[in-house]
Amino acid sequence: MGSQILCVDDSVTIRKLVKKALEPEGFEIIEAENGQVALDQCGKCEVSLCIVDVNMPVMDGFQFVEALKQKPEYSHIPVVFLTTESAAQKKQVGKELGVKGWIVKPFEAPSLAKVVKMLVKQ
Amino acid sequence: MQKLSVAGAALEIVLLIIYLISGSIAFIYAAGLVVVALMVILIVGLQSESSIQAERNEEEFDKYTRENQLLQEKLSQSEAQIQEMKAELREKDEYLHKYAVQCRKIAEATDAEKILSKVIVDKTETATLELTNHVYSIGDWSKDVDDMIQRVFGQLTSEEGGLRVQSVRMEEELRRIEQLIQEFKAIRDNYIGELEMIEKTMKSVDQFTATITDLSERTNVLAINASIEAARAGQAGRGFAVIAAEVQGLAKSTMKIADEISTTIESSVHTVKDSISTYGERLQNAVEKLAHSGEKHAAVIEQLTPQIDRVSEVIEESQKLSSSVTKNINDVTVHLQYQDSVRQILQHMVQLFESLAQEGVEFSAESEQLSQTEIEQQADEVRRLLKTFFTTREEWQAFGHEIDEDIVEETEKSDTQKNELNGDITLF
Repeated sequence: MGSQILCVDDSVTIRKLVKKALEPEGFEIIEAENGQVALDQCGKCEVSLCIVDVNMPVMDGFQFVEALKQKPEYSHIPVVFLTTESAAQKKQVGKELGVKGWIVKPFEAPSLAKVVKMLVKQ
Repeated sequence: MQKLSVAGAALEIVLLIIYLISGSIAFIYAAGLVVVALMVILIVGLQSESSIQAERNEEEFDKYTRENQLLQEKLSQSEAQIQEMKAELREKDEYLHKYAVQCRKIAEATDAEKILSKVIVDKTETATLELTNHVYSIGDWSKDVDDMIQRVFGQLTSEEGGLRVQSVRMEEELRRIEQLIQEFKAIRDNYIGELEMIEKTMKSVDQFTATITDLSERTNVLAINASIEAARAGQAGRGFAVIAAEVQGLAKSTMKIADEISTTIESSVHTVKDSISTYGERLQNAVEKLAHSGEKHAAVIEQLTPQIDRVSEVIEESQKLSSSVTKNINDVTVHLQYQDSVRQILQHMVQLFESLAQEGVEFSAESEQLSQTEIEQQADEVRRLLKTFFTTREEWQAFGHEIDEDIVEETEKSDTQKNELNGDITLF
């Protein structure tokens, strides 16, 4: 299999759609329903990129990125937000956290695949 | 009173003067007199003062009496107002109680909405997931069909071994057959011509043999005559008779050879004739067969060409269809994601209602203590109200089966038929 992509979203539908959009491109998708589960997954897999929702129960997207960046072994993993949030203020928060991108839902499969390919290459 | 004060002051001055003039005894005596005098003056003064005071008191009494009456009136008015206010307060208390009850009811309704919202989210998510799976199945199926068409029909129209290539080869083959027919025709004509030449040559050879036979016969006659003449000559013609016998024998041999040649040529002529006939027919058949084969080739090519074109069109259409399905699936997946937005919007609505309901609950707790029984009553009332709105099984199930026992019974009945019919079907 190709690079492992961690999809963190509390919506099972979105996780499924991300999987369907990226698997044909040769990526392996690992799923997590919130930030806490995602952190656990980071320890189990060789994650090349995290696609993260902002609003989630238990641990939201911002908290997850903060926690990720604090861990030296995971801080290099690029993160892109995939969320319904579109406010510039929130995007700024994401930028300050050091994420690589911000995709507003709904996404188009080919566009998502392009972004992922671009970020995973880097 | 003013006058008394003035008199007192005057007396003090007099006493001071006397004190200053006389000694202490005289002073005491004089003081006693003065005191008596002063008392007399004081009593007289007091009597006049008291009469004035009595008048004043009477006036003031009247005034106070009037004021008292006014106060009494005001008091009674105030009492009436207090009663009114008490009545208003009771009304407001009732209103507050109703408001508190309403707040509790809204809180209960918010809990119910939360449950219903979860039902919506769960159901739409499940449905969306199913839809996603189906949509991608259609996509995969479409891709498989296209792959199959490309593989099967692609081979037919491929550069190597494809129908189009085969068709071109068949056309080349056809041209070769036509060329072959022409060549066969030329060969046949040449063959026939050559055989005719052979026949003519043989006939001329036959004429030569006839001439040879004739010459041999005449030589034989000549030899016989020579033998007769040699016999007549006797001994002298004996040598000539030997020559004549040899010539006769040669003539006979020549005749025999000429006969054999004639027979052979005659036989050869027959053979050649038969050969011309047989090979001519065979060549003609071969040419006809080749021509027929060429016609068949031409017919197949004629039928094949539009079919190959149609196959190419089918391949192209299949590719377009597959691309269209992929694009449509991408569009559909975009729309499917709105379920996530709906879920979040619902969550926000519930959060808003929860916040407002919490304020209501706090208000009702501060302003009015509702008893546990009343709280439970509100919960029951909300459930009863909800029951009047519910139409779907999911709504009933979200609040437990006890809300509508009939539904449970129907469910149990329908369960017994599950083995026979798919879906929620009730037959009457």
